[in-house]
Amino acid sequence: MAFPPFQSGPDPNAQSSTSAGSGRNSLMHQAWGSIYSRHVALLGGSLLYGFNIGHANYNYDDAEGYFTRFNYHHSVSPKPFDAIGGGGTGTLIQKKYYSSGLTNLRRKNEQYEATPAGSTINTNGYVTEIRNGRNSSQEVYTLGYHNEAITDCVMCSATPGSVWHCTWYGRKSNSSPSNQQTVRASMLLFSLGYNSGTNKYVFTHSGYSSGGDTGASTITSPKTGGSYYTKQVTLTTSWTKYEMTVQFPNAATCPDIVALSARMDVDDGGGSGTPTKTYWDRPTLHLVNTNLTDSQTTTDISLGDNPGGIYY
Amino acid sequence: MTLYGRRRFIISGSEAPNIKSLIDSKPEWSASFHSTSSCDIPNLVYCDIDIYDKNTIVSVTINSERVCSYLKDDSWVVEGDELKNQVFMSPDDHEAHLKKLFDTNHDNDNE
Repeated sequence: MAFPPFQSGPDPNAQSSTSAGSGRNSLMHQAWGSIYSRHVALLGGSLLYGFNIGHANYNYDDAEGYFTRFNYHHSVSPKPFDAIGGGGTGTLIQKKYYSSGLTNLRRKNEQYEATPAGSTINTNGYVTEIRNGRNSSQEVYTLGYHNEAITDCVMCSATPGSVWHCTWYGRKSNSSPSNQQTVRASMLLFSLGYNSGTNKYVFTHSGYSSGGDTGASTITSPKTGGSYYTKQVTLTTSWTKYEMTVQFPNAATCPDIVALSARMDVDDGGGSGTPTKTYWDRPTLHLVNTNLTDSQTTTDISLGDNPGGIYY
Repeated sequence: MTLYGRRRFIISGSEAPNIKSLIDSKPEWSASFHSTSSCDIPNLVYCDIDIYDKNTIVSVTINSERVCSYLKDDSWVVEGDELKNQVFMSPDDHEAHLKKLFDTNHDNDNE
């Protein structure tokens, strides 16, 4: 039996029972998507719509949860995953289309860039390709995770003490040099604070520290002890699912956490102008310990600003 | 009262009584609990929380045992259960699917 559908009741303000923004499609579980948002899963709705973030009426999440996809917005490259740092000849980040061979997953239909993206379960679709043109043990990494404006950096809101579960599927290329050498890759999750002086979001907020590698963390046993974390894996040529669960420090340690960003690293290049190639499919990010305290707004029909806050 | 909406969480059975007692103290909210076994997920509970008054504050942190996403078509994806979502296409849909693939430029898939 399939998981039962959402069955919310009618909303007196709804345009129709199925229209975006209706009561039926509001108060969703945790994350929201928008065809216009540069941050698909940034807490959107009317609260941030005035800042040209998100869409006033779209508020369902998708299989990716809070995780931003690489390209989802017509001809506009969304940040943060549109640029890569570290250097090296041949280093790049781009989309790659598979007509078959992907793990049978629900993922966004990024090939239809001229129309609102839906999602389907299939073995074809777009994944993210990252090439590393540096040498072995030299990393390249996606930019836009630190010291950036909200539209260039933030993936979603976050709070001190929040627990996050992140998954992705990864593999390396069958071609040389990737298949001839060790190719490691890392996912990093950062809690962010807001610097009102520069209008930038930074991971170097008060009390920040590295939580190190998450190892074998699970949803019921998250990695703790840091305000940012990494999970490094050694890729094979087969699609493999990886996961990490982390908890940010509480407010006594890190009072300024307001948001979250992610970074993808490829930690080994091929050198000599022959980059290693890695592929990243269907990243997901979900909040685990959802707080329902943030559940009211009396004057504005808008989303609360805590992760998991309720949308009206 | 108007039902403003519902939120869903997959939790452990041991946490259900705690959530129920908190929610029961707020008549503007209600919670219902269901076994996930009917959804092919063993030994867990999914909890639907209905909100009838958006101005009521219920202070409760819910620790999910599994995480799930709500989709535009009113279906749900439970993280970790993707492989159960097999796709079966009608012959017409399959033909359209093949045409779409044929029309789409792509790289060497096996690289």
